[in-house]
Amino acid sequence: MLTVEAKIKAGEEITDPDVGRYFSVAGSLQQALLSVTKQPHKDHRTWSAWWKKAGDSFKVPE
Amino acid sequence: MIWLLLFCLQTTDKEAALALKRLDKALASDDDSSRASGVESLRLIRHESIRNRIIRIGDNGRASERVRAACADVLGEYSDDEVAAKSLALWTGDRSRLVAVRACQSLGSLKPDVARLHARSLNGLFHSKDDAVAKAAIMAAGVIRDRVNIKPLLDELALVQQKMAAILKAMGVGGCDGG
Repeated sequence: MLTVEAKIKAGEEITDPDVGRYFSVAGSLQQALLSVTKQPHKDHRTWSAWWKKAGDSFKVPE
Repeated sequence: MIWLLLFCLQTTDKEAALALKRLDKALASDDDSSRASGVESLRLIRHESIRNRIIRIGDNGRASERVRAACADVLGEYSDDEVAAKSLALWTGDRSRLVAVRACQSLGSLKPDVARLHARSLNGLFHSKDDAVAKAAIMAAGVIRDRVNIKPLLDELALVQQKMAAILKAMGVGGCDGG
């Protein structure tokens, strides 16, 4: 199975599971950081906004 | 009163010896599931001899990954035991996904003061190619809450964000930069 990066290079279609893993890992990372630092990191809002915007990019317009 | 109750529940040497005999019997089985169950059955019995045996089985490369994963589960019950924590930290880097994930989970279930001694061992796993291992290590770090994990977590988040930005760019969607 090709990685997302290899698929892009090969011009193959990117599917939901391909990008889903990045959203999933990023979500876990942000949660862990929130827990370890015991308070939101100064960039927490920026990250949340960034990932929300990235997620919206994949939404099919109704 | 609680201490008296805990004292009464302490496993005696005799009970531990009997449990180890039962374990030997289970490990002699041809069925991997029975062997793993035999190990899992030791979760409720805490004794140094049992802990040491579990560590030896877990360290044994010839044991199946299912059995070694069960060893990681059992060591998670030794919540304040530094010897158990040391082995779990070692197993987090195991080649088997199952063993590595269960070791991360068990390390995260130890008492914070004990788990923190090995929090650093999780850092190299945040970037694992295996998502299950990476997520288990990240979640364990979130539970252990040691400062030693903060920078690696931040670095990994920046990296994941960069990769996502590259994907969006390649697909010609969205307006996110690398962050």
